[in-house]
This record gives sequence, structure tokens and C-alpha cells, in this order.
Amino acid sequence: MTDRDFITKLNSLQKTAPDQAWLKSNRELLLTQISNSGAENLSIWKTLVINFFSLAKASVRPAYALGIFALVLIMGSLFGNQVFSNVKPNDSLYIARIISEKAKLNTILNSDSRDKLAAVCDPARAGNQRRVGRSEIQQ
Amino acid sequence: MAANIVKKFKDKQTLSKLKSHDKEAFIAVYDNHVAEIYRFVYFKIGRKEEANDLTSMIFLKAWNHIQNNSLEDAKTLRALLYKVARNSIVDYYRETGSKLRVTSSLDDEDNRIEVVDEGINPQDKLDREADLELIKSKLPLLKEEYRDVVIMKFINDLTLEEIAEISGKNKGNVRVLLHRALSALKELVEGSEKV
Repeated sequence: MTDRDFITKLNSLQKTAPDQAWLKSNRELLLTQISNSGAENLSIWKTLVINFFSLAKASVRPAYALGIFALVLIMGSLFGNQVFSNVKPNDSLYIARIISEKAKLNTILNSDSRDKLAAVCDPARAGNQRRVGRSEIQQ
Repeated sequence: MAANIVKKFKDKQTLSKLKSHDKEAFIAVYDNHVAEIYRFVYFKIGRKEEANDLTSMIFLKAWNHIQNNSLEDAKTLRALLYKVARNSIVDYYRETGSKLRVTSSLDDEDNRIEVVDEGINPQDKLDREADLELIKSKLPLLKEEYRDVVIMKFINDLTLEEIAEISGKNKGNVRVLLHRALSALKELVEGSEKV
């Protein structure tokens, strides 16, 4: 018998079940016992409060992660072009510079300011590419 | 991710309701876990009547524990039930005075527990039932800690993390224990088949 067969056989013991009649009578018995020790049915108001706080606790981590992601995205698009401004076309981070410049352009709502920034970015990039191209030819 | 949030929400909700003495929440916990706790007890002590009584007592003890102690993490609810079950079984051993009773038999001839099988031809069903009876008869011969992990992992389908939390061991130790327990049980079963 292989381990896998053996485990399958063990797994089939999962079907061992208690007697249904006992389950039902024990359920009733437990309900009586816990009622005697202070158990009650919750009011709608209390249920609503519990649901609200449970939802808040359950979603606090995903909300926190989403907030950090959004913050990184916003900060990256606002300040990324300054960080990557000295990166040259043959550097591995050059793609990050292009993306941050595009992001910066897209986050500026005023069209005049956007055109001004595009006028600065595009020639700078073109100049960098020319310089890198020339240095490669000389080598 | 949404399913995960829903699950977390339900766990927190159940726990908060239990802390607020809600009957319905407790009965929901009972409905969800009674079968597995019963199986754990039954395969540990081997007798149906005692397993019934102990299972009932375990849920009552768990209820009292939740009312009197802080249980912050909802995932520990299942672990709590198992911990209470293990302690109750130890008490049971102590009261009955000896573990010999446990190792005598898992099923009395006149008190068999049904293992439901569907869609298998009669010969295969007979073979399978014979194998299962053999495994059940050898299970009580395992060391206590081996039997615990085999029942929890292979019969009740608990994760390694859950078993580690219940047994107070780390995941690596549980993995090693499981491997040894499985080999020991297999050896017992195969030894008996050869005879």
C-alpha cells in the first residue's frame, strides 16, 4: 500500500459521524444549559453594532494596504520625475523616469502648465539620447 | 481577497456574538464543529457513549471559557475546541484510571459506527471496509501524540498551523511528527495484514 492509498483510506474515516438523533437532542440540551448560564438572543440594535465593528475589523488591513498603495502611487507620480531626473537612456531606471514623467504630465490639470512641462521634458530626453548615442559611437 | 474579507468578517462577528452571550452564535459554532470534535474524541477514546458525553461536555466547557476569558483571534476558536477536547480526554483517562480501556477496541460489535460510502461496487466496498476496520483497530495502538496528529490531520483535515497551535509545537515539529505517526500506523497495519 502506498502512502497515498493509506492517506486516502484515513481520509475516508472523515465520514464517521455521530448519531443524528443524539446530535439533535444534545443541541437542545446545550441550548438549555447555556440559557441557564446567561445566554440570550441579541437585540437587532446590538447585532447591528457587532456587524459594524466586525466589518471594520475585517476590512482594516486591506484598507490600510490599499491606502499605502495609493500613497506610493501618488507620491511616485508627483516626485518621481525629480528623483529620476539624472537617469540616462542607457540606465536600467530610465523606464522609471519615462513613466514618472508621463504620470506627472497626466496629473497636471492645467493645460498650460502641462505644455510647459512637456516642453522641458521632451527636449531634455532627446538631448540625453543624442549624448548617449554619440558616446557609444566614439567608443 | 473579497472572500477572505467575508470570512474574516464572519469569524469576528461570531466571536463578538459569543462574547455577548448570543445563543444563536453558539449553536452555529456547535453545528459547524460538533462532527469533527466528536470524531476526534471518538477516535481517541474509542467508545461511542463516552464520546457523546465528552463531546457535549467539551462544548459546554468551551462556552464557559469564552465567557470568562478573552479570545481575541477568531481563528483560535477551533483551536480552543480542540484544546478543551484534549484536556477533557486527559481528565477522562484520569477518572477511568487507566488507558487500557482505550486501547481495547474502537467499536464494540453491538455498537458500530456507520462510515457512509456511496457509489462503490460491493466487493470494493467490502475490501475498503475491511481496511478501514483494520486501520481503526490499529489507531489506538499508536502513541498518544501520534494518534492526536493523525486524527487532526488526516481524519479531521486540520492545517499544520492549526495542529501546531493546538499542540503547542512549531510547524516543523508537527510535520516530522506526522511523518513518523503515519509510518508507525502504516507499519502496524501492514504487519497485521502479513499475519
